[in-house]
Amino acid sequence: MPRCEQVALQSLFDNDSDLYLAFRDACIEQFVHDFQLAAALLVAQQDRAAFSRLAHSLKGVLNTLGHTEISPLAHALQLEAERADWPELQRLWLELRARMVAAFGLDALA
Amino acid sequence: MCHLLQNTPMNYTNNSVDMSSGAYYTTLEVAKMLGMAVRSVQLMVDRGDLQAWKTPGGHRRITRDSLERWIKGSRAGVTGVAAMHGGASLRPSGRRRHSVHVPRILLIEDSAHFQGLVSTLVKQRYPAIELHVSADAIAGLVSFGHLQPDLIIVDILLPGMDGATLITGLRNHALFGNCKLVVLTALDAQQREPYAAALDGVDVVHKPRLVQELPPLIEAALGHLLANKDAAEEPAPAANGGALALAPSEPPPVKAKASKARSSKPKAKAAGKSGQQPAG
Repeated sequence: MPRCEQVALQSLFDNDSDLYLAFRDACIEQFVHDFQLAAALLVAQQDRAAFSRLAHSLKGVLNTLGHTEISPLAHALQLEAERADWPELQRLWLELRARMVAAFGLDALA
Repeated sequence: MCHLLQNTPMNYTNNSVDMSSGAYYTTLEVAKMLGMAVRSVQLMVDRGDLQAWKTPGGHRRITRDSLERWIKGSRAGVTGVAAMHGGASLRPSGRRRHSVHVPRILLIEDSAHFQGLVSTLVKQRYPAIELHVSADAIAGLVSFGHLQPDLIIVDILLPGMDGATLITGLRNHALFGNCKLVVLTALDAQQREPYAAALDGVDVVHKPRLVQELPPLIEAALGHLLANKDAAEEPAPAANGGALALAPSEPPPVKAKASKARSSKPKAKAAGKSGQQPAG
C-alpha cells in the first residue's frame, strides 16, 4: 500500500483496513464509469455543470483515499469547468486521468 | 391566454384543457398532497415532471392527470395518495407510525463513490438502520416526503437544485418535524461560505473525514431510536417464572455495533468548520 494510502487509513479510517480497502476497490470500479462519463462530456461539449460535478466528486474521493497529491488537479478541473474552453478542459482531464491511472494501477483502462 | 408549460402554448378558448376545478390543482395543493415545498413542485413543473398551464395572473395550474401519472410512476405515493384519499396515517407530529419504529436515514448524494462509502459504513456499524439513497435534489425531496426519515444526510452540490435551496426546502418541509439533518460536503470551510446562512446550526461533515465524523452524528440523532427498537424487541419478562415467556419468532435483535469513534459527543461541526483537510 502506498505511503499516502497508509496515512489515510490511519488518519481518516481509524485503521479500519477492511473498510478502506472495500472503499478503494469500489472506487476503482467506479472510476471506469467516471472515465466514460468524462469522455462523453468532452465529446458533447455542452454540460459544464456535469463536468464540474464529476471533478468535484473525484476531488473528494482522492482526498478521502489519501491521494492528496492528485486531488488539486481535480480541484483545478472543477474550477476551470465553469470557464475554460473545452480543449483546455480536455488537457486538464487527460493530465488528471493519467495520474489516476498511475496511482491506482488502472493500466487496462488507459 | 394560458400556457401549458414546457413550451406548449394553449389558448383559454381551446377546450382541450378541462378547466373545471376538479381537473387541476394549484401548486400549493400539490405541495400539500406530496408533502413537499411549493418551490419543489414549481421545479417539477419547470422540469416537465408535471404538466401545467398558467393563469393570466401567472399562477400554475397542474393537471390532475399528470399528477396521478407522476404518483403512479414514482415512489411518492404514500403521502400523496394517502392525502388524496384522506387516509394519511400520520402522527400529529407528522412522523410515520410503526409498531416498532425502524430508524431510517435518507442520503441525498450524487457521487456513487460516497453513496457506497456511507452505505458500507451504515451497514457495518448500524445494521438495524434502514438507509435509502437519492441521487439528485428533486428525487431527494420526493423521497423525503415519501419516506419520512429520522435523519437526512445531504450533499451540498447536487444536480437539479443548489444546496442552499435544497436545505432550506427540507427545513421548511411540512413533514420535517423532528428529522435531523447532516450536511456532507467535499467543500472546505472557505468554499462553504456562500452557503453559510443555509448551514447555520447544521452539522457539517467534510467528506474526507466521513468515517470518523459521521458515526457520532448518526448515534446522536438516532441513538434513542436504536435503543427503543432494541427494548421493544426484547422478549417480555415472564410473570410466572418463565413458563409462558414467548420465544422470539425472529433471531435476537441485532444490536447496533458501537461506533469506533472514541466519544459519543458530535465533534463534526467544529471539525468541519476548521477545514483541516485539503480543499475538498
